[in-house]
Amino acid sequence: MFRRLGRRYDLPLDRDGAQRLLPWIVALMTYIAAMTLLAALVLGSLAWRWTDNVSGAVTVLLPPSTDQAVGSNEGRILGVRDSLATLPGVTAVEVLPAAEVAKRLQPWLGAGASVEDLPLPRLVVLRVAPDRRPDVAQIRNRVEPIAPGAVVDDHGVWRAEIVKLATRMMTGAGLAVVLIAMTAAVLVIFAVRSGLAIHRETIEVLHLIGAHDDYIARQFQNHTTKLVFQGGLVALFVLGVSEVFLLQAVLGLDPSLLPRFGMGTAQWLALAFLPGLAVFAGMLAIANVTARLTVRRALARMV
Amino acid sequence: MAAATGIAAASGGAFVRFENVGFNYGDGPMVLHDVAFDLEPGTFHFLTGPSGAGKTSLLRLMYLADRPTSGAIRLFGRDTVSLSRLEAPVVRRRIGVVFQDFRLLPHLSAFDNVALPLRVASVGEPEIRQHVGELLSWVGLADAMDARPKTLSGGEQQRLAIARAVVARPDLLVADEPTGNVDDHNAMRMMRLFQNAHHYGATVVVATHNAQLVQRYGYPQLHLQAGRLKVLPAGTAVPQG
Ligand SMILES: Nc1ncnc2c1ncn2[C@@H]1O[C@H](COP(=O)(O)OP(=O)(O)OP(=O)(O)O)[C@@H](O)[C@H]1O
Ligand SMILES: [Mg+2]
Repeated sequence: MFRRLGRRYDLPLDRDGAQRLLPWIVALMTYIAAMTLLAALVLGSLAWRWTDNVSGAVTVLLPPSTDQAVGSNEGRILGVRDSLATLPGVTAVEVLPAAEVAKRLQPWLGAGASVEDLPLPRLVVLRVAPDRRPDVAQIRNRVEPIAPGAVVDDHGVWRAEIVKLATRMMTGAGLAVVLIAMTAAVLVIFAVRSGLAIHRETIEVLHLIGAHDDYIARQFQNHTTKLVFQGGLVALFVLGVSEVFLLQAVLGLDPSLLPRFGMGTAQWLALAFLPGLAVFAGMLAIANVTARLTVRRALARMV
Repeated sequence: MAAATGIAAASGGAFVRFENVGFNYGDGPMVLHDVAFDLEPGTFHFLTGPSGAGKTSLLRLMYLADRPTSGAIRLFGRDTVSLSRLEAPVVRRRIGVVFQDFRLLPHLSAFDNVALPLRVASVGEPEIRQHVGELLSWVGLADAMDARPKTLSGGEQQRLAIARAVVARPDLLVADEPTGNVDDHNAMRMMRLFQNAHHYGATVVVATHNAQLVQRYGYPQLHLQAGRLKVLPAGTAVPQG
């Protein structure tokens, strides 16, 4: 078969027992690396969606009025709304109805509590044009005279925290993948060196009948790449099965509990396939280059 | 081969030239002292000398398996010490070697063993099939193409090794004790193969213990004694001792 492929082994590399484990170890490493990448990508897009959703919004939290006079309370809210609507760059100002606030709080307070009786804060959500950053100080200046004690929040702190967390986790994932890549390289070095030691005699004969280092290196290179390819295929298969299971689990969840990704089919497919394929390609490249360099270095010290 | 000979002659005549060659393994004692000789293209020499005299060591230098500790070796008009890793294989392809222990590759068939020198030189498969087929017939192993070396008799293995050594039509053919473990009949058969290669133009060096063989064929000798070399003219008996 190899002769037909134009790829021959004069060295009986495929009979080395020591290398039989290589594909399985590679499969395991490829799987772990791809899963890590997948998790990092999901996390990254999640964080990005979250922060993107709120980046153009400012929330003004109006404390419940102390005098219990609902009319004047509503008056203050409308005053705040009208005042904010005239700010430059503001595209929309929305007052969350009291009933909506109550509804959002209900789960936190329990079914027994009657929310209507509580003095509730009111929320005004203000959106700015996408090309502008909300000016929190200016908004505060407008709100303070009308509703003292109001809290103006552009979610900057929260957003920064999320971004920091996501960045850290992705850095961690990247580091893990780099470590796995390095381990793969070390593994290949050991496999190739043991092969070199086992076949030292044959290699000398090949040299003496006129083989270039390249001729010998290519056989190690092809063989190692083949083993890694086999391992990678196994990993891709298991990865695919895992993804199907994950997807089933996700689809079984209540959609309202899930964050909104807002991704199209193409992006979902990319998310499913890219990590596996990237790690697979990376492993092949590592095997190829590492095997070649290791053999050439060793051969340079032989006859 | 005639062309190659011409090139060698044009570049100073040194087809094979040892100049004051000294050699030792690692930091062991010197096994070759001040070895100096010239081989003209198209000649046939025996390499004689008692066991341990340094025959294999000398041949290893000749087929570029080792580098001399001192002195210089020129092959085909080229200084071999200055050969780069890219150039050495090209020079080695002009040298056919029958190793003392054959060094056939056990996992390859007879056909693939003989094909090896052509494969490493990137010769095309159709040409390889033709050449190797011819060579196997020549050494009487046409029916053993697919046999593994260890299933062959000692004499057959030796002939297989000779086929591998000559398949690439080397300018220099070197054989280390090829007649060592075979009976007279097989030794003569092997000598005929070497003479055959010689007639095709190869320069031949055959190391042997066999004084009768040297006597019978009468080629000149490179005689080693404790690492020192003397060139003995054709027809000289092997010195005893
Ligand atoms: N690889 C080696 N390392 C160290 N010493 C060696 C090695 N090979 C040979 N020698 C020594 O070099 C000397 C010459 O050995 P060599 O094999 O060249 O002799 P030879 O003439 O071929 O002997 P024989 O007729 O038995 O084959 C011997 O003293 C031997 O012990
Ligand atoms: Mg010897």
